[in-house]
Amino acid sequence: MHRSTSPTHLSFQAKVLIPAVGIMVLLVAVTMWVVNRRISRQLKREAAQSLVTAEAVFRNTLGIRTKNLLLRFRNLPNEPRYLAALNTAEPNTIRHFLEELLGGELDGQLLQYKAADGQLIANARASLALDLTEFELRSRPSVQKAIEGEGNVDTLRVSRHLFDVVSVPVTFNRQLLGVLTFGTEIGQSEAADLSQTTRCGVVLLAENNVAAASLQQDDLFQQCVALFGSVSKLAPTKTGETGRPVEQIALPEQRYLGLVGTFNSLSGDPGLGYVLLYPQESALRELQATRRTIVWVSLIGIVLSTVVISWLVRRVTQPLRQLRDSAEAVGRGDFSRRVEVNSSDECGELAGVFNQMTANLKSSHEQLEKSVETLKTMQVQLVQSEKLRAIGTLAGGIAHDFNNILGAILGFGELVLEDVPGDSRTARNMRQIIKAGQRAKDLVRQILAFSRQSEPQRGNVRLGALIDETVKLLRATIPATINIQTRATVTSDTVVADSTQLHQVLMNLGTNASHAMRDKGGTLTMRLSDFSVPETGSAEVPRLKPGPYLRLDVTDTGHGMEPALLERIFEPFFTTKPVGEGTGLGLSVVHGIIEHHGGEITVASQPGQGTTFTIYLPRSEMKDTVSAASNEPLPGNRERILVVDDEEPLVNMMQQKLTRLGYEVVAHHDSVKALEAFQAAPGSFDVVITDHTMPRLTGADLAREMVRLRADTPIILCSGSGQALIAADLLRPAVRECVLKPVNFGELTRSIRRMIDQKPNVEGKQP
Amino acid sequence: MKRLLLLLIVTGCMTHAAHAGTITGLVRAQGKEGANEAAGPGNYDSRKFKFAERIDYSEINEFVVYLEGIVGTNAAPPQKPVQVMTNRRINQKGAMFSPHILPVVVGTTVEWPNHDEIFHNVFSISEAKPFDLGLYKHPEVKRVTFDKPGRVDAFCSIHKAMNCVILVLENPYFASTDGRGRYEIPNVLAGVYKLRAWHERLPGQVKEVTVPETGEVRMDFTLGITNLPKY
Repeated sequence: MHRSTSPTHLSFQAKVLIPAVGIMVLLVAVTMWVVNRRISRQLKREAAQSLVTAEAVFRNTLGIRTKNLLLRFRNLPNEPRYLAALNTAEPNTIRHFLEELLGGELDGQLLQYKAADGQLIANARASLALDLTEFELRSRPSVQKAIEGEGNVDTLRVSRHLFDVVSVPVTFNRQLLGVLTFGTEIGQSEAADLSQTTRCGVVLLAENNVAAASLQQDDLFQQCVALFGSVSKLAPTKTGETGRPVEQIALPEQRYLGLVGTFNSLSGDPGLGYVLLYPQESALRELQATRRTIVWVSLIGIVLSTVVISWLVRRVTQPLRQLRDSAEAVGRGDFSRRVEVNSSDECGELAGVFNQMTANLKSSHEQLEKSVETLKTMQVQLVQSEKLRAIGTLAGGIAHDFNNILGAILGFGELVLEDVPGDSRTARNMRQIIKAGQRAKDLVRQILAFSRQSEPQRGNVRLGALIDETVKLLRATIPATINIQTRATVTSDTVVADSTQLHQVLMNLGTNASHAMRDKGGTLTMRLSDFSVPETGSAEVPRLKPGPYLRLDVTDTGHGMEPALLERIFEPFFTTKPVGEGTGLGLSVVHGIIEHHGGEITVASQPGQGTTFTIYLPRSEMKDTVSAASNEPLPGNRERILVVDDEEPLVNMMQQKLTRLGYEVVAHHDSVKALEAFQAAPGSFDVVITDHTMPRLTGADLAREMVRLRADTPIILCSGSGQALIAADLLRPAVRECVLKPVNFGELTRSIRRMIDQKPNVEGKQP
Repeated sequence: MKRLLLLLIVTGCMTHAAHAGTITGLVRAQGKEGANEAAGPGNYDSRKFKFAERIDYSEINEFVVYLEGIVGTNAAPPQKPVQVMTNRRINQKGAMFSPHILPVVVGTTVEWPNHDEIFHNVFSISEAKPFDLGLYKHPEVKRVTFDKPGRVDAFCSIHKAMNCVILVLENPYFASTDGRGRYEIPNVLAGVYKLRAWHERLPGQVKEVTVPETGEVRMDFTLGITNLPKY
């Protein structure tokens, strides 16, 4: 989130904050606007209402004043003094009288007395600034009305001042003497009184001058005069009219709403008016204060909200960040990282799921690693086994030729041995040659067995005898510090097995045991016992099928093994021995052999105490058929035998050998020629012995041809490799029996004997 | 005033007697205690003076001191009329009668010459002598003879500030105080009299006076509303 990949990339916090703050600011702005508008409008409306009310009060007050003035002055001329003075009709006396009145009795400023005919007799003024002529002129309508008999009040202006003028008729003895006119100024004190009553600023205007005002501001007056000028010209107002326009008057730090009105003069003077000013400053200031308060409160609110929202968002994003960090860690391969689940909301669920996912990933990863490990091992094994197979194939090929060579050596050796006296030096040497040949033959067998090119030759094997034989061999090879003991507590020690392979197994186990004990010495014990697996199976060795078994324990008192070692002990190529000492194949081959025999091998070991290998093999109930002792060649009875082999020495050797045994041998080292000979007289041969691997025509093809010529031809296939034997198996019934090279003549003659004996019976089975 | 004093002196000389004394003294006015104190701002008591007429008692004069009743043979009234002049107006205060207080003995004729250029009028509705001289202008002079003792208030029908008091007395033993409140009644026959001090607006005071054969007797008066009950 913090690592923005592009400039427009916004964090979650910003994504939440910006709209939230924006909305809030907008809200505040709208509120401000609405409040401002509403309150301003309301203020103006109120001010207008106040002004209208004020005007009503204003006019009412003025009305009351004029009424009072009229009441006050109406009866004054009836006073004797007035009558006495006015009755003189003498201007001086009257003027002095009027002056005296102005001097103290009356609070007016102008007085005028006119005769009944309208002739001015006398007038007086309180101040020299007042123009009496103007007064006379402007009061004429009022005087005229008084002459007509009606006392009246008029508003007019004299020398820039406003006056309420009361004209009353003066009568004496029911005779109209004249008209007395009083002028009372509507001055500053009246304006102040009116202002107090109306709660508005009052500016009284006479034409373009301010006659009186409750306020003292010249610039305000100018505006009032201007306003009056504009409004009064537009629409001459009527008394009591409402809904008139209310004008805004603004001065520095002073704001008013102004209402303009005019006085109705009898003379119809339009220049008389007033402006009522409703002070708005305090209200506006209040509005401003309200606005400021709103702004402040909103600002504080926004700041608080921002803090709260960012806190909340942080709270929300914290688990997300944790998740991100953890995901990164997991991405790097750190599966130990876990997200703390401290809430039960979606984030908490996410964290939980994430943790679970991490755990799963971890186990998968581990499994994968294990698989890779296994795969690697397997690959190594595969390579090794490929190598071995190649070696095996190679060895098999070599063994084939080597077998033939060995066969020749052994065969001719035997022939020589028969020809020389038994105790001569030549015989001794020849026996040594034969012995060495035998050993070489065994070696070839071993190689072929390893390369699985030899089929196990199963037979009834007496395990006890095999053990004794092995022990004899081991005794010769292992140090004397190792004591070997054998024990057998069995009813029958016969198993169906390949004695060579079993021999190999015993030798292997014995050698391993002696290796385990070669530093300190010890005891190697081979104990043979009966073992039986019931129908319900054995808990000890669960893989065994029910039935009777022989159990062989090979126990040493050597260094023993760790359990971890024990687990892998049967793995191919696993070895504890230094490089060059062991192939690592031994125990795996042992395992394979035992399993192949339907048995089982187990191991138990205690480090420092020793190891026990236990072998279970199914017990055979059959009698021993193949005896190692009865390997003597059987003599023939002039039976005709066709021998075919591409190797001439071997053919010669076999011809000599079989001829000596009493057979009539026809030998060919060319299979095609042999077939021709057979074609010439198919029924003349009792047995055909042929090699498999031959140029031009293989042994298998030859056999097929011969069987085609004569169905019951007994054919023995000789081969140096197991492959050929398998092929021969496929050739049945053409090939009756197979003999592995190098040829053991005892075996071969027994096969020949079986062929001849079973001649009428075409089908014969090798045991 | 000088003329009046001269007249009195002349009259006194004419009625000369061997046993005659002079009454002399001082008349002054006194208001309630503290009445003259300033009723300025901050003075809480000013409240009580708010609607009261402020009178400076020390400025009050125009007292008249006279003997009550008929004294002796009663001297005849003066032959020439005594003038009350209608003075020209000064300032805006309007015209005035002068003197304002005129004590005369019964039978005296008083004339009102108009020295002003506008119409004035002299009239009275007092019991002792109701009269109306009507409106007249300079240089007209009108006269009235007062034949009954008593107080006669005379006014101008036009100008309310114009008024005077003609105090018609039974004997000629009277005197007006001078500007400082002093008076002197000479040539009074020795005896015991009731001497009254009078003022236009203040309650009068009567004291018994014993006039010696010769010499002076001093009688001082203090007029005023002094013994009002306290509220």
